[in-house]
Amino acid sequence: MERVLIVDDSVMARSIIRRSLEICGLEEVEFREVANGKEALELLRKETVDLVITDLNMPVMGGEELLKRIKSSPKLFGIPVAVVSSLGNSVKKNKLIREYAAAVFQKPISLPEIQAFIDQLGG
Amino acid sequence: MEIYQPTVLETLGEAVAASLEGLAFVDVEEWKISDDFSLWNGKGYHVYLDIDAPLTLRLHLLLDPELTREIVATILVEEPESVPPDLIADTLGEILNTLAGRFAGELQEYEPVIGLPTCRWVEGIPDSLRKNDEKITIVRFKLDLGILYAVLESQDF
Repeated sequence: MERVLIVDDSVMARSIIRRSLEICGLEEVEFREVANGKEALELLRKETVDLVITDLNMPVMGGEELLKRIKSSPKLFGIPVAVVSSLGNSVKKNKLIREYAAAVFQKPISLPEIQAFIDQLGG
Repeated sequence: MEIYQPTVLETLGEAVAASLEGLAFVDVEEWKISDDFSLWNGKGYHVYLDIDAPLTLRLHLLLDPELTREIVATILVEEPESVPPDLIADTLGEILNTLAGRFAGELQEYEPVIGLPTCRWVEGIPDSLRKNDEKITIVRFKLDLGILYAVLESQDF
C-alpha cells in the first residue's frame, strides 16, 4: 500500500486516523487528506490511491455519497473504502456494507479493529 | 414512536462516558439531572448540533476553558498551553459528533440523522438555553477533570 486518502472535515479526526494507521504498520505510506467527499473526488481524478478512509457526516458532500460515487465509477470501483463514523448501530452499518464499504468503524476508533482491517488488506 | 426519558438519559450518559473515555481518556465519575447551570463558571465553549432521527432534538455541551484545553491537549498529545486555538472548535465539534452518533445510534435500531456541529465562545448562559426553559433537560457530568453540562433541547420531553 503506497497512498491512503483520509476524508474528514475535522483536522483532529484526520490526525487521529492517520496516527492510528501509522501505529498499525502504515508508517511508510503517503497520506492525502481532504475535508469532504467533493474534494476527495477531485483528488481521485488526478491521483491514484490504494485506500480511502472517510467520515460520514461532512459538509458539501458526505461519506455515503462519496462511497456511492466511487462504487459506481468503473475507474474507481476497485478502491477499498472504509467508513469511520460516529453512528453506532447495525442498521447504518449494514446499509454501508451493502453499498460496498470495505469496513465500517465506529468512533472513537479502535486500534485492534484497524489492525485487523489492514492485515486483511495485506498491509 | 415511544422513547422513555430514563432510557434517553441513560443512553446519553453512556454515550458521553464512552466518547470522552475513548477520545481523551477522561472518566465520568457521576452524572445527574440538574435544575440549573449553577456550577457553570460563566464563560466557555458552547457546542451544539441537531439530531433529526430517531427523535428530534438539539444536543448542547457547555465546557469551561480549562476543561476544554485539558481535553483537547490530551487528544492532540500537546501541553494544554500549546493547544492551537483554531483546533478547539474543531475538536469540540468532533467530540460532540462522536457522542451524538453513539447516543442516537443506541436509542433505537433506526438509521440516525445527525447535523453538523456549531461551536462558539459564550459568556453567561447561552440565550437559546434561557429562552427554552420548558423544553430543556440539563444533565451535569462530573468528570475527573471538571464539570461538563449536556443539554437536551426537545419538544418531546
